[in-house]
Amino acid sequence: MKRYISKNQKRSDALSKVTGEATYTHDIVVPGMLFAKVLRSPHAHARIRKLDVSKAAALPGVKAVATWENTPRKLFNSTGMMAFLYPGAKPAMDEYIFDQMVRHVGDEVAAVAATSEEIAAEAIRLIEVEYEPLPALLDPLDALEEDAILIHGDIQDNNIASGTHTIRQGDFEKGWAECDVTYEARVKLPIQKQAQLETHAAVAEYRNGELTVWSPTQSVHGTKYILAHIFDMSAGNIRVMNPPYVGGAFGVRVGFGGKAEGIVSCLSMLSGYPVKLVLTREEDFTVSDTRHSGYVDIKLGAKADGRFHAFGMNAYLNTGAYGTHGIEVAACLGNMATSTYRVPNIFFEGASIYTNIVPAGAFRGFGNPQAVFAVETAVDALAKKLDIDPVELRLKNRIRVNDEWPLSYPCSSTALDECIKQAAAKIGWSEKRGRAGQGRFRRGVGLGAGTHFCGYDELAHVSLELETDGSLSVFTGNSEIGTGHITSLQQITAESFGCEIEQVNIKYGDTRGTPYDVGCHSTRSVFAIGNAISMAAGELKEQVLQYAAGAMGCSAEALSIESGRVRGGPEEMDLGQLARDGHIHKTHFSAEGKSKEAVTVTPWEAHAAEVEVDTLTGMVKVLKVVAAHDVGVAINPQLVEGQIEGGVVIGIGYATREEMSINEKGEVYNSSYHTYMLPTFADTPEIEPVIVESYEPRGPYGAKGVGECGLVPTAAAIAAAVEDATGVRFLEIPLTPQRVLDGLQAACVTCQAEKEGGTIDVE
Amino acid sequence: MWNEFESPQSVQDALVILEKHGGNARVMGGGTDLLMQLKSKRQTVECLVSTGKIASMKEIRLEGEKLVIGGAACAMQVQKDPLVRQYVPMLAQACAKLGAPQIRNAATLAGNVVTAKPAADSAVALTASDAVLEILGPTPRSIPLIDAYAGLMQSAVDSTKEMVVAIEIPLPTGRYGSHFARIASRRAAALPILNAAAALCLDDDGNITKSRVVVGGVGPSPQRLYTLEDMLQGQRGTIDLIEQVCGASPDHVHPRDSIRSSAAARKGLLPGLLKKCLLSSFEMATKKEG
Repeated sequence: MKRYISKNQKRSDALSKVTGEATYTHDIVVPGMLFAKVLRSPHAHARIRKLDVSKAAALPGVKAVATWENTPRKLFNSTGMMAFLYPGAKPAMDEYIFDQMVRHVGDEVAAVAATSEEIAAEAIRLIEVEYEPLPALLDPLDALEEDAILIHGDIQDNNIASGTHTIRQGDFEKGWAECDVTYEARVKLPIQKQAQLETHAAVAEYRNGELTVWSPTQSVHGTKYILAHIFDMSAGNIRVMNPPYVGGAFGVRVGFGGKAEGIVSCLSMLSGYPVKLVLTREEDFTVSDTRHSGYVDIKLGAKADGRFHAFGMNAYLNTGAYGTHGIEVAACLGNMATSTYRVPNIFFEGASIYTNIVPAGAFRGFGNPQAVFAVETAVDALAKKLDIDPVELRLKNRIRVNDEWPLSYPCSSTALDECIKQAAAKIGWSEKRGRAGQGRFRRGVGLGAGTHFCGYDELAHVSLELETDGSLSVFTGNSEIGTGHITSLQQITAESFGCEIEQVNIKYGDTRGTPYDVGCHSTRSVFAIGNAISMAAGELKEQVLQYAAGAMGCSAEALSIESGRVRGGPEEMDLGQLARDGHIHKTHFSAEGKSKEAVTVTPWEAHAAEVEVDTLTGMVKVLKVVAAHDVGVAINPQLVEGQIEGGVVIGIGYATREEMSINEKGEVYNSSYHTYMLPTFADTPEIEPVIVESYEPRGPYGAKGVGECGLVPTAAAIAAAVEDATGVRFLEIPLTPQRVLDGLQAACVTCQAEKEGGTIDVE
Repeated sequence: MWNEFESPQSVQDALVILEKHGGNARVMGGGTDLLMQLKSKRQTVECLVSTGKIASMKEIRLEGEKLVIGGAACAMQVQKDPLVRQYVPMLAQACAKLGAPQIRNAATLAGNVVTAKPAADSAVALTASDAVLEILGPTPRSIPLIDAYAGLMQSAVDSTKEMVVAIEIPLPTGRYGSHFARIASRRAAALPILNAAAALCLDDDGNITKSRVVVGGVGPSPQRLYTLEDMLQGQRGTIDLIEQVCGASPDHVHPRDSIRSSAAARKGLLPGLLKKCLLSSFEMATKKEG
């Protein structure tokens, strides 16, 4: 009987967040702190001919002005993943903090540190810049043309960020020719923004040769590594920490966020003062990584009995001005596209392509929503051609445990079949599918399925220490980005060690005193850190029991830790008493946990959506989403449901509204919460999270991750539901009223509705 | 952004402060637009003069044949006010769709008009109500809503010198019905793609004695579609007539392409939107006792 596993333990950070006591980077105040502002490029692509900062530097209150001329000229990758790509891949090392070239509107030109934000802003206005505008590329397909201008011509002779990712299995060409039915299409995907509540920000203090940085990064150790690289510092002299909370991340803070950490570090070194930078919402939207937009070409073929036989895909992702996570996102897109269904013959080629727009990088889902949108479009199309129910076709072709697939890790567990069945049943598939009718308002249901990777187990490393009061401290370089997983890790610790959960303190988000961890992302934290903690807690327990056995003169086998006390011997021993006794007898109870092997496991998910389409306005109303997820064993079911629901909302936004619009000058039109159409509560329908438990043998207590999965198949399910309602399959999202109306008019669905007429009132 | 912030308790005090600053002070209602403009330096000002503490300007009352809405009444107050709901239901509907609840608790009705957003929800409904702005300043004056816009994002009211102390709406006569509706990309905190308000008065025989058809999102200010109003005026009110009027509507607007929607799509959506407004107005009017 488990005391703490599969329990809705209350979040350890709940009270401080609800009361407003919780502190974030925006709250950090360091004595003597200066305030920074950044001068940004108004051009999408230009060379800086002349930069005169003399007037700005002379303004009273200005303590430093940073430009490409007085800051490190060392190329880096701002994602913090630059040391950890999959074997064979190289990160794009294409960024400076400031450069003589500007490659997108908003690119950093200079920064000022002054005694107030107002003075810094005034100084920015006094900087004189002469630009030589260059032709700008906005579309990745244009950037692939032979005569396209090179965006990083100084380091490479094409516009592909760090190479192309290729996947091959079987013989695609031969397989394609052998198919009885085939479908091919190109889907077009929008730029989606993380829109996390806390804008990017950082505070840096350079003193005594040591650099301290407060940051909302989701990878403190990764950020430390980038800073050490840029400033040629010994990594041990850099401390990066969360304060300790992070106001949302969704991938945009793996490493730097909008280069804030690098900018404040430069300014602190130049001025000798601590420096704080808080980006405005407009800056946040304009300069920090987004979800990759672009084009995905898909070919899917099957045999007459419905078995998939050949799969081909080309992905042309728009990575914007810098490569950041580009190659990994392209690779993940390919991996996820080829691992949900059994297909013997596979070809995939994907690349992230430079253009002169805001950079794209990591965003919850990491290439997977793009992959699934394309794949599920094709699966539904084949179902139609084969006259097989889409649910049946998916169940028939889904991957099974230990199936051959192109990935480097095995499929060690899957309950995708159960996810698909439950999602379909709970949306009312059999009663509702194919019953849209002919009126103006048409309802339909659709389903999408997918997987994700949950891993970087090898990059987890924790240390545990029994404190002198008997409590247990866990030190991890992971971060709390709002997901609540620190509470799940407390549950795993208490369960593994045998103490009370109140005796567990998890210390995170600080490079000082924590062993290396790659960070809170990749759907990995409960899984990877949980595994490391289980291991360390087991070892620590062994140490404690051996010592207690010696102290009591009994056998360690007879002893156990229960409710924070050692029991089973001649007397009960208190853990604090043991720890204090140990210290004076040269025994310190501490243990390290780390993975022995690289392990990646696979969570699974199926979403079913019901929509109502107003064929007169093009408005798509999502009525309900059922989200069924195989998460292994849910350590904390309520937190898992929270993760699923939050993910689905992002998925609904991706499907129906969210799209950053870039004009012909490369400027972002909708760089605010007011103009960027995040769904509001009023736009969010009923979401029914369904936890489909399986047991993952390689996860802590059978757990897998859930973090990113909540949004992976949502857009595909909604597009399928819209097709069920209207007969029109949209190959481009989001399904804005304008886009839907255009599509329905082209298919003459709206003509009919217009003839019939009707009233419109859409809030 | 500003050096002084004043919260006078009377209109007279407010006007004195404005005069003292000689054009460098500015009236602030809820501040939901103004503070953002000041923050982004699109506006600069020496002194902000809040209307929030002027109790008389928060009242909504009947005065003879007029409904008088104080210049400091917030959108939420207007949305919930029983007199507004009884006499000018479309105004309550429009205020209920403005911004989001937090915005509506701060933003004033007068401010929504003076900010001069092309498709301000309340301005569309007020135009269809024949509302008049009562303005005090160096030269006290009254401006009909239809003349309240001086150009794109420009108000006829000079908030550095004068203030809208009240918005007056003539009480409708006879069997009256009105309705406001909008189309937007999401249900809150979104500017509309199109919005519209309609008002109809019927005599005892069911003839339309007065009609108002106003659309936002097709020009720099709410547009009264006079031709459509004329098609309705003096006619016997029928569903057929309304459908005919709505069908003709796209020919009488000249929207532009914008990132929210194309001109063609706006024209395409207009008949359905107007139909909602006119049919609801008609239904309400026919149910009413003369």
